[in-house]
Amino acid sequence: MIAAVARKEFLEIVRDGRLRWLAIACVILVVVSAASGLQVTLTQIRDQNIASQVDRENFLAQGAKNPHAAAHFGQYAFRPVLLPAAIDPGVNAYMGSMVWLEAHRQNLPEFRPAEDGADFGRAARLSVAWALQFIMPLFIIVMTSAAVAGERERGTLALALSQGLRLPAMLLGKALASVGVLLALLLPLALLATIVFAIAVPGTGMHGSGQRLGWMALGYLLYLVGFAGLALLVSLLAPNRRNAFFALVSLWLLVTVAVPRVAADMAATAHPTPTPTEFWAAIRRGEGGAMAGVSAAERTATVRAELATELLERYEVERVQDLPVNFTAVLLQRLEEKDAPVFDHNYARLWETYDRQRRYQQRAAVFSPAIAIRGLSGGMAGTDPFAQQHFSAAAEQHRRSFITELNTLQAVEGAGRAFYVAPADSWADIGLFSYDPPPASEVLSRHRGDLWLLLAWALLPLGLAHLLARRARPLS
Amino acid sequence: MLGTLIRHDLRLLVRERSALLVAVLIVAAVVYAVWSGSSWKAVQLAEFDAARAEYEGLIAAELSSLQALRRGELTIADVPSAGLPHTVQAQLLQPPGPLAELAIGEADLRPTRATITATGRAQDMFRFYEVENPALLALGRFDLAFVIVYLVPLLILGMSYNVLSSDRESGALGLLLSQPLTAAQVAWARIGVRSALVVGVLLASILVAWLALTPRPIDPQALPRLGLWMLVVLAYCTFWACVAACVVARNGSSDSNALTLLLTWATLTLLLPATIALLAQSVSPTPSRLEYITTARAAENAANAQGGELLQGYLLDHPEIEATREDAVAPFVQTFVLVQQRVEAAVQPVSQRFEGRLDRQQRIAGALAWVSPASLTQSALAELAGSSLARHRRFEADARQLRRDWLTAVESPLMAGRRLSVDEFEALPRPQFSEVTLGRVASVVVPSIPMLLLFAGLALALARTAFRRFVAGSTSP
Repeated sequence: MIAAVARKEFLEIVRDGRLRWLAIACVILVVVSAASGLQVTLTQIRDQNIASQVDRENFLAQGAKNPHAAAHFGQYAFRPVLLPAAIDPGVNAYMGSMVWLEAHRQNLPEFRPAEDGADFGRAARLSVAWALQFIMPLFIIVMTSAAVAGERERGTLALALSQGLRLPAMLLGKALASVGVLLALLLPLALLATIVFAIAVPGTGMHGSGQRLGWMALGYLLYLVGFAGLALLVSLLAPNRRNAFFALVSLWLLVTVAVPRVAADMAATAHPTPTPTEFWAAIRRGEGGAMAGVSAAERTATVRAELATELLERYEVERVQDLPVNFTAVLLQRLEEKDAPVFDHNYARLWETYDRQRRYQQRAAVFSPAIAIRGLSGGMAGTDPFAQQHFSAAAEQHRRSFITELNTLQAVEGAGRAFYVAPADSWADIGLFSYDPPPASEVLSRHRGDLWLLLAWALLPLGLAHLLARRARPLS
Repeated sequence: MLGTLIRHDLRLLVRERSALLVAVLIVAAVVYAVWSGSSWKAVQLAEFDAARAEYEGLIAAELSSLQALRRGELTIADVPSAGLPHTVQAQLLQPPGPLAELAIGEADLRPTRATITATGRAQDMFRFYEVENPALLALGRFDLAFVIVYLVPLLILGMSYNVLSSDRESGALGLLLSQPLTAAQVAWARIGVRSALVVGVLLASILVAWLALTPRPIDPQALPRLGLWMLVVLAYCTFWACVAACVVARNGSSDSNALTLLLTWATLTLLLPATIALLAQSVSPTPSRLEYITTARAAENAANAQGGELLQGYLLDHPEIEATREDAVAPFVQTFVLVQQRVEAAVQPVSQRFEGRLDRQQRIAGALAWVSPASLTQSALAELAGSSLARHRRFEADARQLRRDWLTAVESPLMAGRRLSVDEFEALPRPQFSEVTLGRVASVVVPSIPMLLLFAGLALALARTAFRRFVAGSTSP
């Protein structure tokens, strides 16, 4: 019986001209978004590979120079773009795409793509994720809102029930039909995307993209099934089609637009991000370090005096010029080590603020699965703030490592010289940045809550509808 | 007869809970949006005031040291960095726009401070501002422009979709049209009353919420800008009322009208702006910043390779410097400045190409916005609020000009290795952000109002045509 209902409902949806056109429009939207996303992502990957290569060449081609000057020339680290970003660009446009690694300072990633474009007033950037998060739920609402309410209004519900059909079975059949239509629309697209991605992208540097895409697909399936369930539930409860439709559109607006925005505002108010002035002033004051509150000049003077005493004692010489190491280089390294806890402390606080804001919003995901799917999808696509944090941490680790190498070079080779110039071939021995994004499993562990919420979202409305259908007096 | 109909409709609306609900929704959304925008602006103003006070303090201290040096009250040992041409700095600060609390736009994304020193690199002038959580930036604040562009049309459409169909479905339409009234008159009267209710509550709540919540002191430009803002909102709402009439005139059922209006809303407010963004980015993509960085670094290597030769060459080209030469500035600083000049010359074509592409993209986006009422309204509201890209690019251009003037002013003493005198310090360019004048803003924004009305007129014409074919008893297929 359930299969018969599902088959009949499926055929009705497919034969409805209005829905057919809407489905075609949705498919075109998804295909255009996917094509554009893939083209942009592949261009970004290619540009970054070239820039990374050119930056290495630039670092190696510095010529003979003082190692500390080379440390100020520094290196650039480029945040890799992952293939799933073609599906969900997430907040990529709002994150710095590269970070300058230089002596004395841990920099923030800079050059956010959103700043480098015309004024679109945050108009949605077409993407598959956007189409799936906003437009497909609308399609589901249009497709499913009249499922029960329409039958009741037309009087066919009474007829069907008088033939021995039970309401829960009918509901299940209609749910199967809705999900069937969704799968019929999306599965070929997913298959096509898999083939195109496999052909268009070389096998190397995938960073577990297949696994990431798989989790994204599961998330979106649960998200859309949830909307189908909600549409059935409202359709069951509403007295007529119009009420069902308006209630669902209001819920859609609330769930996809209003709650995420208000939650973001509230998160920013509850856990405000420090202003740039506050952030850098805290670092200048040395907060988190052993000499907090002391000015940079005084810090340097104190460290210089302590180090001079320590080295003169250790090497049993009278003057720093007589040390078997270059004093300036050792001082520079000591200052780096003194500054490291300051950067660690202040960046950890900044990331902690981001994370608190994320957790705050995640709580609001109970009212809006759009927050949960956005979190899971962006996380898997490597286009969420965590991707930036993970990258920044790796870049900072590398910065400290190669600055240490340069200071060591000067300390050893420049011993006894007031100003040491390293030969041009010295830079080949200095480490270059390489980065692996976190594995999909690590990302998943951060978004387990989102996945559970999506699962609950997918099952609860359907379950509730089933429960109500068993107890309902459907004709009243 | 029409007057009676309007009065009756108004009475019905007042008694119906849905009208009250819509009014409450509007007031709640407006108050929340203005509060949210005002909180953001208050933080920006505090940041601006603190930065300005800090900078003015720096300048006053520097001037005081130089004057004390001249009077002999202090020696160089007391203030070793006083008047050094490479350590004095200029800061240009951009305050939030006069009505930024109503439309934050993308102003929260862009730098508002330019720091200029002789040794600072051009690409570092606006650095160190990217602290905000990207996830929050991507969503944007819940500001009033968002309420107006996206939510208000939904309310107008939701109130108007069934102004004829509900009567027909209840069997009352035939009776109504047996009076000396046409379907068009009934529809327009009802849509007019409903839209007037939405617009009236909207404008009144904007005015009250703004007066109550906007951070003090109120910018003198704010009130006239708010007047223009209201006109834009009025034109935009008129357009949506005409869209509602256009669909109602097709004589569809309530369900069909609701669906058509929902899809029209989604197309005009979501899909069309997104397509415009995609088109503008595809036709004129801005070049990657990667090229800028790699070119700058290659040029730095090439200039560094010449090292001391650059300084020697400069001194040979400027023999007049020799007469005033001192050793307050280390030669490596002078060389660094010359290296940076080379780097800037090398990246200038890349920068110009970037700026050119961005200009073109902005022009394309601006031109395409004329086919989208939502985009047109969004940019007009951002322009009036002082949150537009145009205002920001003006700030950037001012900062670049200030940097050029600054470098010219300090070049001679810097290359001569001497400190600035009191007179030279006082003659340095003074950074001052110049707000876009009201006349200029009006010249940009005002044309969008007739354009919105033109869109409304188009919908009106379509509605009139459809009303001519209106048959009371049947629905369109």
